[in-house]
Amino acid sequence: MSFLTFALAYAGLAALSLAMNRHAREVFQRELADGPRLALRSAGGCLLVVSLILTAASSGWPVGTVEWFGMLTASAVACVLLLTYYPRAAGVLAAVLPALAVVVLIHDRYMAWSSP
Amino acid sequence: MAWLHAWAGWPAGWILYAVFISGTLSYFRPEISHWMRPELATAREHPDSVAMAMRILQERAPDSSRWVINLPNEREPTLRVGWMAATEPGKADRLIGRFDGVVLDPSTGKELQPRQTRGGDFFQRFHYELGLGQVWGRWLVGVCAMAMLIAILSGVIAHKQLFRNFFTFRPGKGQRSWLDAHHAVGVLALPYHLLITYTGLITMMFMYMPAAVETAYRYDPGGFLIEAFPNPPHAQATGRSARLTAIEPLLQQAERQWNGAAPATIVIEYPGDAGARVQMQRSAHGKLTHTGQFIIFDGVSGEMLSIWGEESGAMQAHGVLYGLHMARFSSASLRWMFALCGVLGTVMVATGLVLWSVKRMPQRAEGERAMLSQRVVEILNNGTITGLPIAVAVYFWANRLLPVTLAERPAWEVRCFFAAWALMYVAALLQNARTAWPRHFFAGALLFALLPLVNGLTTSAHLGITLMQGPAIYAGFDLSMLGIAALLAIAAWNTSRERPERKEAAGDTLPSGTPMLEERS
Repeated sequence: MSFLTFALAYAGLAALSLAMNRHAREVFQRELADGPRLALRSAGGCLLVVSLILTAASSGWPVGTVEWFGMLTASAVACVLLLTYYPRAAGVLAAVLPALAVVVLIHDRYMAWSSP
Repeated sequence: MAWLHAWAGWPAGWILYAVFISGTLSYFRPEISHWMRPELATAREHPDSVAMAMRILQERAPDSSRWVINLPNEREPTLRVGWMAATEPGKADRLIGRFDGVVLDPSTGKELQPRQTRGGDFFQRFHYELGLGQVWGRWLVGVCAMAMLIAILSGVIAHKQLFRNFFTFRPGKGQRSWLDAHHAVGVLALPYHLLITYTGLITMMFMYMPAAVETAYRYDPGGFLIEAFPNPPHAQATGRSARLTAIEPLLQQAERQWNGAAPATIVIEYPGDAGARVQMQRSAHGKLTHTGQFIIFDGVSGEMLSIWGEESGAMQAHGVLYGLHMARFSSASLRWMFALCGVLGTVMVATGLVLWSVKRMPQRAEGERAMLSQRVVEILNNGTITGLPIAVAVYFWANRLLPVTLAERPAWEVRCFFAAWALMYVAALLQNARTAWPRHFFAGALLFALLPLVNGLTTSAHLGITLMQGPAIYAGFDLSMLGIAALLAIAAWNTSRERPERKEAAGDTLPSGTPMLEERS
């Protein structure tokens, strides 16, 4: 279980929520066309699948699956609260969190590689 | 389907609320038990724990037929050493006899004298028995869990708009908001709700559905459990003495066998006898299945004799479902997710209970007397939903404030819990329902918020120290109490806000109970 997989799960759910008209209005102040909506929806689904695979890769499938469901709930709670009280932050974080997570990942890998 | 959802959830919800709260607390059973024994606060893990335990056992119980060592870990940093006492050689049946033991600080070897308390064990027992005993309590919880499963499934089917409103929460809109909240906490943690309800029923499946076992084992009651959950065989004493093998190499061998997982418990049977056996049990960490895994070593040669816990597919399925319910395999971060889901479940049951009564009870105008049934439901709702958190807080307060030397101390702590809970029904009876909600939630918030202070005044492990130097369990416990206080304060704030809005909403209609309104609705 890591920050990266949480960030991906959050981004995935946020993308799925933005593909819904109600939340698109809250975040972008307008509804999206069919094209971007479809893109957001498929990106959301892909991100969730990637986060599942990464969790399973780090904890194994038995425990990893459980962790992924837990993370899905935790990130969904974050997503709903942000959409309710800070809708714009919900959209911004969906882009920023995974980017931040990738930086953390690269840093960790670098530290692991540079230290014996 | 909506009617099924409503009537499966009510009145089981009152019981389920108690089950959810105590179950959520039970994820932290070792931590709660540790916090409730502040005499153990100084204990720190230490790598030489096994050697220390062996030294103590050689000293204190050289002739015992059975030694038990519970190794420290990050959740229970104490070293617990026990031995079978008062068994006479020759007629010693190891399973009958007096068991003695000590609790040690692994870093200093000092013997600790913890206060008498049931600690977190109380919540776990309460979770499936409610204090009503093995038969009534377990059946009642089982029936309610079944109702819960029906309520969840019918809720998902009845309210298809759930998924269209997946991310929707509209605050500040009175009943609409409570409904949104009920949907949100239900759907967001839906995998958890299904899992925990189903696996909860599985944990007691041999009690709830005994027909198959009773038919097959009619002439051998108890035979089923022995065959289905076999224990490693007991050692036989030979009467010849022999030197006990070193334990440390066996530990490493066990760790290799379990892919790095450490043993949690070591049992040594007939130490000093030629027939000695060393039995190691794997820690629950990192494996879903709940069934114990053991390795048996020869106590003299150190040879690995047998491995237990490799099971058939059916038993593994049972073990995994059981293990998923207990969540003892989980890392700290995953445990917090389980706890978050438990809180969501608690909120789901509470909001469901309130919505049930609000929807079925006629709105009444200011000053109008409530019908008797309405009043009873209100009092039960309020006393249960606000009373249980308060009872939990009072249980923790009692742990710190009751005299350490009090006779029957554990029982008094539990009495305080139930007394506080019962009192909240009385308090709800004496007040107007609308003022009772925010007041009681606020009282609960206050009780939880002051707990770190009470802990700081009665022990030397206050937040100022524990946040910087540990023990982390204390810091975590105190911060969690502040977190619960914040949740209750939010509840208090939201229930106090309810009133003006409802008035506003009533302003553009007519006072309730008028023919005009009935026509419109």
